[in-house]
Amino acid sequence: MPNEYVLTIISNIGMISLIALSAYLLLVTGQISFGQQAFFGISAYAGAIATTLWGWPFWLALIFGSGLAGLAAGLIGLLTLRISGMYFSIATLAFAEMIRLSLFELTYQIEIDGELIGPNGAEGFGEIRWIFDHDISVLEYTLLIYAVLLLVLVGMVLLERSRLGMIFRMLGSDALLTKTQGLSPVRYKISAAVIAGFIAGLGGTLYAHSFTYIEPQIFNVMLGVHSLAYGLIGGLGTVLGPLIGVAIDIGFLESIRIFQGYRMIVFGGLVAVMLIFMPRGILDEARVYWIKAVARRWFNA
Amino acid sequence: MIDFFQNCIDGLMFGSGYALLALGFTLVFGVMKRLNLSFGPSIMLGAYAGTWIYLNFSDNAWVVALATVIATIAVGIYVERLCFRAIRHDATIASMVSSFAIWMQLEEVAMHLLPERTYPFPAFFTTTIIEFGPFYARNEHITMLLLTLLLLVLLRAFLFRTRPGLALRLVSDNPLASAYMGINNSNILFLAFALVSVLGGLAGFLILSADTQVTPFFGLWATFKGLIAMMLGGMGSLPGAILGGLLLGIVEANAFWYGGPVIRDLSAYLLLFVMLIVRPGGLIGQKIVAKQRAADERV
Amino acid sequence: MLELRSVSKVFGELSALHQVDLWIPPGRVSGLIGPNGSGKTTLVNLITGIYAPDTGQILFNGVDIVGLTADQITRFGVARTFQNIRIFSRMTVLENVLAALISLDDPSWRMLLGYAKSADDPRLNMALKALETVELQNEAGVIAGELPLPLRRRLEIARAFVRDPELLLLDEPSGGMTPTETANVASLIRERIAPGRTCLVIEHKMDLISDVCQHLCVLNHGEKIAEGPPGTVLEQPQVIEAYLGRD
Repeated sequence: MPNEYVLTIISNIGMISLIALSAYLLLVTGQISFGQQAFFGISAYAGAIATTLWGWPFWLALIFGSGLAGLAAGLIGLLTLRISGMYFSIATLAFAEMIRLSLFELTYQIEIDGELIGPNGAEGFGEIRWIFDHDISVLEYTLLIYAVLLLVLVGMVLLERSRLGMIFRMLGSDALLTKTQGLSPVRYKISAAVIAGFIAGLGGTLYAHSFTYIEPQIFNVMLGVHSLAYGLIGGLGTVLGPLIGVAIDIGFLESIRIFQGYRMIVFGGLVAVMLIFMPRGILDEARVYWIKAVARRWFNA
Repeated sequence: MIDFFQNCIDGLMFGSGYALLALGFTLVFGVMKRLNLSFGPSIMLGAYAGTWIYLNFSDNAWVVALATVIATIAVGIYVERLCFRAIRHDATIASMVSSFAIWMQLEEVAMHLLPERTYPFPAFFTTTIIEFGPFYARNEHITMLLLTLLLLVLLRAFLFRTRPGLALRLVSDNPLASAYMGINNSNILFLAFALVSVLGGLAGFLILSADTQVTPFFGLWATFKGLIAMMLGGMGSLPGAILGGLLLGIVEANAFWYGGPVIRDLSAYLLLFVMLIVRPGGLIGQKIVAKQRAADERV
Repeated sequence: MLELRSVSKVFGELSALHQVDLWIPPGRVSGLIGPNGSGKTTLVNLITGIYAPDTGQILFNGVDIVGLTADQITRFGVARTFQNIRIFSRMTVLENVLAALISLDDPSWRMLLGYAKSADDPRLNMALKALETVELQNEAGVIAGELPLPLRRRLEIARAFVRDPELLLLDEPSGGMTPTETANVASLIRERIAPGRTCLVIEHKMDLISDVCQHLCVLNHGEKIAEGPPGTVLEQPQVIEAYLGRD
């Protein structure tokens, strides 16, 4: 039976992978979002409120939180349709900070068993007891996280091979050129935003129930830049890219004693160096094509 | 009503600090068309150096100011080499992301250098309150405002009346042509960063000495305030930076008075968000955005 | 087929096009020529909806397309290549051509979620045929960004005509090419692309123009200075003057 420390790291990798995949999807469509943490946070609070204060079943809370996050993301996508490049990035940053600050003002408490439970501004939202109330072990919850992650990965692989996925990549390569192929970017930009928001939302609700305590400070710019960085490091050519990025950070850097206290220095420096030499990451599009070609030849032999 | 005007006055004072920060962002954006999101943290490290001097060597505010500026320049050079010079000229977003990543790095370095949560910073003046009618202002804020205006004048003189300033403007406008004319673009970039670091260092010093303390959150704070102010006023426009800074100051002062610290910060971001959606060029910079867009769409 | 009436476009203080009237006859190759800076690419951008003219009308089969977006105009049957070459450099050659075919009909969600490269998709065959026409079928799996310049131009041409557009706009198809390569492009256009199709070729190289075009229109400083069959137009004094300058 793997010990709890290792399981915790593995769960974290799983949940953070979701927000990393969220940022990755937008990166693929050519949009750099510093703000996916907003949807992570919206879903964390919404999902936790649903189970803790309203007594909803977990799966419903998960859909609710993620759906709300997706909706919010779609709204932002709509508002930012006309802006691109760094203006878009800064807008996502501004929005995410607006959400984080608004959470400081969110107070919604209900008395349960004589105690006041619920989000309480800066003091956060504790006692998200769903795991304990339902006797779910750490191992079981970890498996749940990975079940969700697996579903998302399968979905994204299918998306990658679909025409919609091709259109996303076209937009990421050259939006103007995409228009002259007869495609209006509006529909696709918003779809990408909603899907990305939903995926981040899945991570958020899972996170809230795993840690049993959330506060606004968690959903800050640091989280946003990290989620972006994972794809940039791991590679933008495949969904495995952001996962590799997360594994390098949480699995490697965070776990190894030597890096204690120097993780950001190493990680930040790594991102900067990657952007100079491998701006689309380790597993960039070219490398993925090459790997696939090699694999094909190998299987045909 | 009196409260409102007092808030506006406070806002103008604070705003001048923001304006200085915005000037730094604007210069970098003007020359390189890229955003340096490590600007705030660079200043913070500079301020930490100043603090270190203050705690260990000298009480003198001038010495601390000098140390702050020099350290800011040093960090600025590091950021410039790693995030800007090393990256292709047209990969503007990559530089922005890279500088954001380096922000994380610089923050951690700061935490290691000075592990406490807050340190004292020398006050430049002793505080006196100057009253005029029903309103009042602190003298260090007035100084900051006057200094900002002075720096703006000096900056304009530098840009429009000196040869290096001319070179800087030429590179901003058309780097390729400037290279053909024999201007060394790398040197100009370096000059721009040095200039910006001086401005940033001074801004940081003034703001922190008015506050008499420095915390590790200063880096992010300075970046955001400068960024918001610049984008409000108009990217790439120097008078826009000043205008944006003052506007931000006024909005924040009133938001703080009527709503508290969270509402204050929220208003700042809301203002930025709305401005980006409605008028990304800011109050003044509309033409710049159009030109940028035309250049991007060069078909 | 395509008619421009009194089209003008001003950029800031620069008048790029001034009261230009143009008529592109169907079924032939027309050429748009003029010295650099005469407004040729601006004209193409106006036709394809990259931006809108300040005054005037652009009639495509009798319908005014001013104000329509670029994607709408493409769906009407206008396809183009770019002077500076725009390709999806991270995708393969085949995918680049497939990309043009995604929106042949307005894509439904069902179609969007379908597999992009299924073997029984007629689009795949259309794409392969187009690559054969430009002799790029052997490079189908190559990443477009790795192609040398002449092959990139051919890829752009394949991508443009695979939709079987009513109007095909080629913006400087021989840009950056050696005389041999230019001749190759010229024969490609003349023999394989042009027959049965309406084309507008923007060029400033005379040899390609005389080889390929049946109808010419000459621009200088944003104004039309001549229009007609190549033999006549190229002899006109103002055209010669525009290219060679005043003595």
